[in-house]
Amino acid sequence: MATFTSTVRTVGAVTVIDLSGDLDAHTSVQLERTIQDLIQKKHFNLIINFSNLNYISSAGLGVFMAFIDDVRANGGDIKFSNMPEKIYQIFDLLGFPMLYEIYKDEREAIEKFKTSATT
Amino acid sequence: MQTSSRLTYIFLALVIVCEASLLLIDIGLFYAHRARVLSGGLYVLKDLIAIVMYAVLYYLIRMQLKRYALPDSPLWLEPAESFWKGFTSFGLLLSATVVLGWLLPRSGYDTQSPDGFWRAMSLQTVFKTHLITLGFGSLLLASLVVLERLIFFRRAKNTQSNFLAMVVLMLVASLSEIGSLPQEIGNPVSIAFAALAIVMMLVNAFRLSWVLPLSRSDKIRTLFLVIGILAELVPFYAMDCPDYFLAYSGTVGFFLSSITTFVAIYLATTLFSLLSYLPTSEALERKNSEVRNLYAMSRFASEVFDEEKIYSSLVSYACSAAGASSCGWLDLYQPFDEKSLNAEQAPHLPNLQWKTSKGYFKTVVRQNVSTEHLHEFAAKAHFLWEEMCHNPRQIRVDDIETDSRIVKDATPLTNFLRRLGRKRRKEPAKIVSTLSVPLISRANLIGVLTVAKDVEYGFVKDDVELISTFADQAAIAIQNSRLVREVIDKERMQQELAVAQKIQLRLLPHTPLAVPNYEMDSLSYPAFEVGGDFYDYLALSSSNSSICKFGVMIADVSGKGASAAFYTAELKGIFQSLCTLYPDTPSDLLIRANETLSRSLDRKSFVSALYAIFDVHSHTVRFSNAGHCPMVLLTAEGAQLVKVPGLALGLNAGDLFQRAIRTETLFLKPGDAVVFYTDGLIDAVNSAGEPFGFERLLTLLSAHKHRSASEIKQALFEAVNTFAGAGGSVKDDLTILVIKRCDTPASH
Repeated sequence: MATFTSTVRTVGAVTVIDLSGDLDAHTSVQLERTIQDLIQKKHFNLIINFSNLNYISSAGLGVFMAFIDDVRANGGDIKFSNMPEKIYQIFDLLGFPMLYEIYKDEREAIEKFKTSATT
Repeated sequence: MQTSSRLTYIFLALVIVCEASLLLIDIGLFYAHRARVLSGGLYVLKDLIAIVMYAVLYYLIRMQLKRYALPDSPLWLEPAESFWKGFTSFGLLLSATVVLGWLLPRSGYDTQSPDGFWRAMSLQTVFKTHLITLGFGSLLLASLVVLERLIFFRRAKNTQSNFLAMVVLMLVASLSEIGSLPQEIGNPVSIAFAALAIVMMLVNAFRLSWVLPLSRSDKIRTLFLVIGILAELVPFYAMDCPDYFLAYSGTVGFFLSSITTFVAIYLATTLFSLLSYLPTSEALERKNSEVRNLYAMSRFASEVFDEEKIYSSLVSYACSAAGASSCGWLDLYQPFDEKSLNAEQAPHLPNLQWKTSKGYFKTVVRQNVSTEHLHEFAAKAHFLWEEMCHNPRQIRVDDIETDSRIVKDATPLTNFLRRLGRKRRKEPAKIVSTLSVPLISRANLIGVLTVAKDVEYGFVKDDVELISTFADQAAIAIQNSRLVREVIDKERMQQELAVAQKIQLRLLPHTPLAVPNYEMDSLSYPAFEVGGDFYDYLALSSSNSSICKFGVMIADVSGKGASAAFYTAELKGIFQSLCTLYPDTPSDLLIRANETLSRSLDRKSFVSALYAIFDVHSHTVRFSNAGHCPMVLLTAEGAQLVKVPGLALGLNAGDLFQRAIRTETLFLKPGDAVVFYTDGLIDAVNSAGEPFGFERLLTLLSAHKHRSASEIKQALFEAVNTFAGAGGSVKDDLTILVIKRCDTPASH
């Protein structure tokens, strides 16, 4: 089984979290801690980059649900990018595209944050 | 008892008779001496009678002593007691002899007479001889019994034979004197045997194993008694008592004299042994108590599972090992983590707290020390706890006033002044030198044991080793007790999970509905004890006692385990109460279910659900999908996924859900079937890590399109299991539900 890792990068005012491996009930705790830390440090513009993620379980999806209200209440957002096809299918099935902005490319998402900041 | 006491009386009578006849013979001899009529044969007779008499006397004394103290009674090994008795009775006899000598001045023997004979000065001499010999003789025989016991204490292989050899040699030497006149005593044979006997006496005199275990006070007492008895021997010899023995009977007198020699030799060696052991006896007693404590602690460690008890006995053992005027306490360590405690909460907890950068210490047991003293110490020596959680090891503070880790400007002069200052203080300091040892179990710090003394440099290497051993033992005991508790907790959890599993299984329908022209079947397996999958059938309306409309719900709660299982129970309640309220449109039901669930689900959880309403008359299925896996429609043409947009329940409480959800209608031809499933099926992986996926599902279902609902369900289940097989796994709960409109009766 591929081990799960999440690394945090900062691109200007935006924080990008790269995910890789399997995000399941056990590893989701790790991601939860990472995002919680970022929120405590007042980073509210988050992009989750899925390009290396192999598998996501419902518990993994729950992590984003847990924080989205907090982040949006603080004027930020969680945006998704670079989703592999099979990961997108799962998000699509549950109707996540209606709740989250999903971008093909990370740069698009960063641009989107910039434009929303200026307006 | 009866016969033995009778025997005693007979023997006693025998002794009296022998003594009387000896006395008569001696009186006769006294007058014969005066008349210068001498017969050597009478001396042989006298010796024989005396031998018999003293043999019997020895037996009686031995029996008497044995009755006085049974062999296993401690009196035998209470040498101080026996020595005291020996000392007093010897002293009494001596003073009696002195008094007798003063009362009867002319009662000695004239050993310097011209004809070489020992000449009794008067008839009183004969009586005095008998009194002295009988008195001292009995005492010497008793001392032989006592010495035998002492020599046999912790006997070695040769102890008994050595002792017997000595006695036999003494006897042989004495017996060779049979018939000798007092002045002739000392023939070469008896001298030779006596010399051998003295060698054996020396050998036996070094059997002193009883000295070592004596307590210090007993040793001192015994020492003085031994000196006393040895001192008593001086007047004994000065008054020529052995001469009276010889005059009494050559054989017995010689034997009694040799016993006297043995007693003197034995007492001399005892004296030296006592002197040499005396200085070390305190250390020995301490070592003994250490061994006892260590033993008690190790037994304790293997038997007691009550942690509180382990803590308190550890502290008390450690304090007793450190000696009097020591105090000790135990701090338990609790590292900070988000689960139990964080740095902000810790200081507000009750009990004594020592906060460090990595965790906090809580004093659970303290002995001989007040909280004020502890606070005072902690204020000075905070480094101790900080050091312990970074690098657990023994930490010794030799003097708290001058230690360089506590006091920064330590120079010899300031140190001296500080120590002087402490001496002047009214209240003596309780904690001056300390020793702290960590309790470590499975490489984790459990706590710190600290022992303190009120003097500088109070702990030497031995103390450190002993206290560390105690701490290690206690750490093992604590670990054991925690493991036992863990096992008990785990068992209880498992029992509760088993109950939960039973309840959850009861939530799922036992048997499918009986609907004309339709057949249905299902299965559900949780990945763990309890799962998050749920499905249900419900008859919505019926005419002529046959169902004409029924609903089917399949749902999957996000996450696994207990929380998911609770939501499935809630789901069943919601579904059952809503289904009759919304019998026609599935989306209406799901919208209401979403409203209810959004209020009760926690933020991380959501539920994917698919609800379908079957109309038996029109053969239509109306269904809505709230984020669940698309259902499969299985027709004569093959299998196809039927995707309908929708949002999972609990993701959005507002109108987004309402806007997203759709209701679709399908028409079922005879032989058509719909298959519902949860993502456990799609996500099942094989050994290569590939998922089962939709492709395989559709291919498999197409191949089984002509089978009955039960057969399709079974085929699908077997296919997934074979696919996951060895090396793969069905990661999630797995549920399959098949509903089929039967073929026309003609086609059967």
